[in-house]
Amino acid sequence: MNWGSAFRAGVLGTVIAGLSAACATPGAVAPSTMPVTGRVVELGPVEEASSCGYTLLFIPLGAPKPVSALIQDLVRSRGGDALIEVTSGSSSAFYLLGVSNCLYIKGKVVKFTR
Amino acid sequence: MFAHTSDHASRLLRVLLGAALACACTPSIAPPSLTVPVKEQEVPIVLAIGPIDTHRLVYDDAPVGGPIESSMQQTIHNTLSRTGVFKEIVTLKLPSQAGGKPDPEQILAAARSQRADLMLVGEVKEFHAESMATFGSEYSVATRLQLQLYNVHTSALVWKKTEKVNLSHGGSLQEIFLNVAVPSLSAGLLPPLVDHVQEEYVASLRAPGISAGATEPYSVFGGAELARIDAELAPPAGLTPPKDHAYAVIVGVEEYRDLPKVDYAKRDAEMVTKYLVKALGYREQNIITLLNGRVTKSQLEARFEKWLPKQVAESRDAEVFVYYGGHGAPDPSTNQAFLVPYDGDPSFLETTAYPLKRLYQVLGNLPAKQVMLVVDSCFSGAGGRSVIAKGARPMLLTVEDPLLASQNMVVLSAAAGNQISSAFPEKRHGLFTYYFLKGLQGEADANKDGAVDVAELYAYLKPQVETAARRMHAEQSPQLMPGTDLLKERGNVRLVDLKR
Repeated sequence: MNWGSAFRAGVLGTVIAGLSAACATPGAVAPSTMPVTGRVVELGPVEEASSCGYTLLFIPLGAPKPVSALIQDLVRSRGGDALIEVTSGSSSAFYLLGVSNCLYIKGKVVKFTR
Repeated sequence: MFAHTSDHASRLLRVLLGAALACACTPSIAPPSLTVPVKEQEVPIVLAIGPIDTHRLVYDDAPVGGPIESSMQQTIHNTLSRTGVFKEIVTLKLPSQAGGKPDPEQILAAARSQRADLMLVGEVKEFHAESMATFGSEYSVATRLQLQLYNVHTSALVWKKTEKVNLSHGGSLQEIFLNVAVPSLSAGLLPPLVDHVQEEYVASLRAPGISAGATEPYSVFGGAELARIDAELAPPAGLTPPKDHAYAVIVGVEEYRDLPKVDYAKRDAEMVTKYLVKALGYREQNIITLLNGRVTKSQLEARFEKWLPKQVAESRDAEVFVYYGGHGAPDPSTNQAFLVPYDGDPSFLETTAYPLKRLYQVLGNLPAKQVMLVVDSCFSGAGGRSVIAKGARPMLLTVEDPLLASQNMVVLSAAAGNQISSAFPEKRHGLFTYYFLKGLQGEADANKDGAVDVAELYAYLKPQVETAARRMHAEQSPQLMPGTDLLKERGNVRLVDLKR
C-alpha cells in the first residue's frame, strides 16, 4: 500500500466514523410531574419509557413522542397518578444513511393517598 | 382439498407464531412491594380479611382465570402487615359453596372464631378490559374495587371506600389485574383504611358514646340479606282496629355487660314492636321498648310494677302484651327462674335479676281484659338463651304458676324447662320468635277465617319450632300456659285480623 491509498483509507474511515457518531444531549431532572402535597405510595421501582424518530436519506420517518405523552404512558402503565424522581433526556445517532433521535423519561410511578 | 388444508395450516402457523411472539416479547410483570405511609401507632385490633367478590372479572364471556381472590387477599394482607399497625391480621378460609356466595353469617362466624375485631371484605364493582395488540399481549383495563370494613362484634359497617383505576399494560390479563391493577387499587384504599382505624375507630372504642358503626339502615354485614328477610317477615297490613287501651312492654337484651351475647334478641324485640303497631292495633305511645343497656332490674320493676298497673287501672277493657327476649337463669338453691337484665349476674340472681314468678304475679293481678306474655328465653342453664352461675349444673325447672289457671293471662314460652331456646341464624331471629311472627303474619290461620287466635297460633308454632330445632340437632318445644285443656275461651282471643 502506497502513501496515497493509505491516506484515502484514513480519510474514508474518518468520514464513516463521523457519519456514524452518536451523541446524547443533556436532559431535565424534576422531583415530580405533579405537585405532591400529601402522601404517596410508590407503585414500583424506577421505570423508563422511550420513543424514537428516524430520518433516512433526509426523509423523516416519524418523530419521537412528546415528553408529556411519555409521562402519561408510564403513569398509565402502572395505574398511578404521577411520576417522582423524574429524569429525561434525548440522544441522537448518525448512521451512513440516516439519523435517529430518541427521547427517554425515567421515574417512579406513584399514587396519591387521599 | 389441498388448498383447504394449506389454509388451515397457514392459520395455525400464524396463531403459533403470534403466540410465540407474544410470549417472547411479553416479560412477566413483577408485583410491587407496596409501602403504605402510616402513623407509627399500633392498634390492639385483630383484622380478618374476608372474601372478595370477583364475579365481575369476566373477559370475552369467560372468567379471568387463576386464584384471583386469594391473590388479592394476599396482596392486602402483605401490604397491611408491612405497616405494623394491627396486632394481628388473619385471612379467612371459607369452604367454597356450590353455586353461590358464602352466607354472611358463616363469614362472621369464621371471623369470630379467629377472635377478629374487624373484618375487611371487598367487591370488584366494575371490570372492563380491551385488547390493544394484535395477539392480545397488551390490554387496557378499567376496574373499580370497593372495600368495606365491619365490626365483627356488632356486624356494623365501620368504613367503606371505592377506588377506580384505568391502565394499559403488556402481559396476560390475569397478571395485569393482579400485579398492576390490584396494587394501584390497594394504594388508593389501604392508607385511608389504616387512618380510619388509627383515628376514628380507636377513638370510638375509648368513648363508647360515639358510634363506631354506620347509622344507615341495613348497614351491617349481610345487610342485603337482612333486608330480604325483613321484607319476607313484614307485618301484614293493619286490619286490626286501633286499640286505645292496649299496652305493651317489649324487652330485648342482645348485648350483656358481662354475659355472652343473645343472638338476634334486639332484632326480635324490634320486629315484635313493629307487629304490635302495624298488625295488632297497638298505638306506638302505648308501647315501651327496652333494648340492651336500658334493660336493668330497676327498669323492669318500674315498667312491670308501676307503669303497667297505672295504665291498666284507667280502663277495665285493657289489653296487655309483654315480650321478653334475652337470657333466663335458674337459681339452683330456690328452684326459681329469673329474667336476666343487661347487668345481671347469674351468681347473684336474687339481687341482680327479675324473678319470673314475680312477673306472673304482677301480670296476673292486673285488672285487664286479657294479658299475653311471650318469653323467648329458657331457664335450664344449659346454654342457648339461658345462663347459670359458674360451677352450677343445668337443671329442670317447672315454671308454671297455679295462678295462670284462673286468670286472664296466657303465657307462650320458647322451650320446656329442660330445653334451650335456640337462635335461627338462617332467618336472623330467635327460632321461637321467628315462627311466632310468621304465625301472626297469617300462616297460623288454620281455619281461614281471616284472623289468628291464641289456640291457632300455638298449634302452628309448636310443630314448626320442633321441626326446625330438630334440623339444627336440638330439642325445643314451645309451651303454652295454661295448657290447651285449660285454655277455654282464652284460646279464642283474636290476636290479629287479616281481612275485614
